[in-house]
Amino acid sequence: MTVTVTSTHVMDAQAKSTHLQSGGGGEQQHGSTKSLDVAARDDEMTVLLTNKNYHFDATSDIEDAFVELNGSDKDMELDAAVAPPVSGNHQTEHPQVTWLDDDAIDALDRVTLDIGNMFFNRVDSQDIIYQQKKKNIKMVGKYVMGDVLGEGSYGKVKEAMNSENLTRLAVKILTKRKLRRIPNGEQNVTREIHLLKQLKHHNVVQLVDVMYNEEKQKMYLVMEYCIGGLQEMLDHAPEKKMPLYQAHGYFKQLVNGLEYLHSCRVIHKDIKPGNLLLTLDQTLKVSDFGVAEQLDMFAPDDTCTTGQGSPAFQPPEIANGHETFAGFKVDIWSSGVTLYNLVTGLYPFEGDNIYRLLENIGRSQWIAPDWLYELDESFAKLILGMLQADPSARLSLQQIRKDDWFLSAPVVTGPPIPIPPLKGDKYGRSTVLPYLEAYHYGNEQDQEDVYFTEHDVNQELARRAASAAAEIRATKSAAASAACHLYEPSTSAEAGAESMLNGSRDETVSVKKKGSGLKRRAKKLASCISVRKLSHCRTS
Amino acid sequence: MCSNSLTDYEFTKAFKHGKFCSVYKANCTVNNRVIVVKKYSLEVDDDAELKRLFAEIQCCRQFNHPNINKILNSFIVDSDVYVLHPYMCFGTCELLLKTTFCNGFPETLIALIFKDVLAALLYIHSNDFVHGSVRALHILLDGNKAVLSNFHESRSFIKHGKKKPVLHGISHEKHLNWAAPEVLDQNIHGYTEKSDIYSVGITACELANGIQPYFETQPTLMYTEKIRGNVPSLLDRSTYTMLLDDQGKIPFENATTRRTYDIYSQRVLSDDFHQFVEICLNRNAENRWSAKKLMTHAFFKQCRHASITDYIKKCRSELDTNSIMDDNDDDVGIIASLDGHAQECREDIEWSF
Repeated sequence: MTVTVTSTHVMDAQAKSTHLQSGGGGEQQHGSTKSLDVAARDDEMTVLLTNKNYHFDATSDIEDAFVELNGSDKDMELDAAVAPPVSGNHQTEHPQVTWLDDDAIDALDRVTLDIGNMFFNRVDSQDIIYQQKKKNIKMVGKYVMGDVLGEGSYGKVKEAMNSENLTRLAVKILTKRKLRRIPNGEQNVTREIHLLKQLKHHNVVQLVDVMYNEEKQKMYLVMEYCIGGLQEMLDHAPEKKMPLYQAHGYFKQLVNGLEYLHSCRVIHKDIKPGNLLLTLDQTLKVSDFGVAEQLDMFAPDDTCTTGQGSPAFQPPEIANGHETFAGFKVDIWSSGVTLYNLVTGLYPFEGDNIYRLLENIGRSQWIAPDWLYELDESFAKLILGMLQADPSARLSLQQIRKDDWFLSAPVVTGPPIPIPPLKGDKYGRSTVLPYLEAYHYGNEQDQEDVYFTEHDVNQELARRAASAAAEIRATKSAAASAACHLYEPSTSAEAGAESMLNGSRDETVSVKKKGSGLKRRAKKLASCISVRKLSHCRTS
Repeated sequence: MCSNSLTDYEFTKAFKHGKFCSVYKANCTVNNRVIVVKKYSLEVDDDAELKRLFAEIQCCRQFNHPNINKILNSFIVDSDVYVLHPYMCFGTCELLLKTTFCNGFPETLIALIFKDVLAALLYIHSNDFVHGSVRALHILLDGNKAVLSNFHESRSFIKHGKKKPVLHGISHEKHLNWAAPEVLDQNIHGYTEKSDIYSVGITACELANGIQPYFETQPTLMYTEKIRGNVPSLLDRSTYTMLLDDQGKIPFENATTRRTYDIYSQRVLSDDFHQFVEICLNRNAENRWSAKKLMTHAFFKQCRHASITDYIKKCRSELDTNSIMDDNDDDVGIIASLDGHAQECREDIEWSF
């Protein structure tokens, strides 16, 4: 049982680390649980190692972990020593255990961030003890809170469930403290709430409820539940793209949503795959109105002055820094880039950095590459129409509706790319359920506290990496042997090493069973050191 | 057949007064036929209810089956929508549970009812619809048949000309206790028409035991129970002991519960019935039988020489002798005046189909 908990932890940690890389800007971004077997190559291992290096010294790398692992007796002893309730008589050996809760860790992180990581403190991994988070039910109003789905600069997004009608929901938790750190943070949020309250459409994410907790200085935005976003789907797909017909389905819904928004005088300004979410029944929902603007009721036209969206999706008029521009056409451009990105996995404009990128966008009219015409001619024409540098020449929503490709029904080619699993659960089941079970049945076996150390965490991470690597090697060697039908001595050596590794892995499991379920919270220390190199033969 | 003019209808009795919906019994003066008129107000704040009503009318009008409550006509006068249904003389099963069969329906009557309900479900399912809220409240009875009504929650697999493999979307708060675990779970896999079969199982328990399953249970507990595969069961001699506490005593004892428990502990429900419910309440939707297969279940053998009228009449006469009935009560009044109406109803049916 503990072992399964362990794996969730690892997923968590990976999700956090990927989040760090992506900047965590997106709204309601579900923890992208990159399962090891999907992308278990060097990338993944770098993440693990990098992650490892946030917390302790570079000397304790994976080889160390494995050496120590062999002396599992010692490990258990330590385990016992650091976990007071398990063996009370050892408590005196470690009298200075300071327990930190989430907020305290947050505070500590802020302090360390503020100092700017001027120096490092060496802390032994075995001295960092975690207590497994118990699934204690937490209610906010009539909503039962579940696991964290994603985290952004403003706060967290958690899954929730309405305890009266049992609908699944997503709750965006905003803390005043964090909002203050974002420029225009509070202003943007009030505007977003004001906007969302007016909007009601099948393809626009619905705000269900807003709650305030003055005492905790928190704000809860209860929204309808979405199982994932298009960006995540792309991230998990091979080649980061989806079949034409699937993109067509989403694009039609996007146009419906945009048409509604524009009819409400709302310009979204940040249309991108990351802000297009999907419900369980694959309904697309436009979300994140953080930078959206509502035109004045008496405004003569759609002239806007500010644009704060994501750079890659910005039209030339914003890239070139025009003082005023037509608002509706901004969304058309971004939708064009989005559609192009969904189908090809590429961006029409690229750049090494944000300045280059904006320069490229602003420089000239985009020309559809020949291969795009070969892919689908009418599709290429639509993209070209939406990516007209001149806003007045750019297609309007009405014109898009009459477009040949828009009206066509692309041939279904192969299966659609799936929605990635939620927290490792391919069914995407509610994460509130464990909390409810703990509440209603008070699961007895979990009542005792479970402790584990950073060391355990990293061993587990290393183990996961090793097993993934082993898997890859196994498939490689299998493929190699199948290809040439030759018995190669090197493979056999590898296989030998493999079995050794397996042996030691079993030991890890037995150590884990001693009482270290893992559930760790977000580590926010930035990726200041990243060790790119990973020795390929970690068993040596 | 039925005109759109209110003047052609003579309202004889009000069954229910509500802010949104009122239900009347009426006489159609054109063909002298007894009907039920449901009046919905268009002036409501939330148009979600109205949308559901319109969807229901649209959906119902596609159906033509003897065991599905027909909509004779619907029209708008002033700011009200009028929906006309044939009059079903015994009312809903839930009403009967309250008034006549406080401790549950007799097993044969349940078999008779479900035979009709399953026929209706088979028809709905073969038309790619899911009813979504099968419960005693939505089963109406008249002299010789049971009909399925209330298509508020019904959903179709076919949308925009495409057939979806599964459905998503949770039922309304009021019907959650009858919902299948996969409906409540709201996961990617969604649910299929088998969710109706689960509701049939819950309804069977409701009809047999005379109490709503999960009555006064927290919805969240009901949810976790169902997810764990725990289901309500038929209470008879073999199972009633599970109601008792550790000492074998009746919890919260009073005269009524005592009597109810006595009845449970004395009666015997057939093995076929137990098995039928077990099949319906299978946690795994794929292992639940389809409506078609369920209709062949041995449970329905007992239907052969029985009719709904006989059973209700028999019970009514027992009630009469016990003189528990309160004549002032409108609902009970329906049953009291049964004899006269039974005849009418038969005429109605001839008219309806």
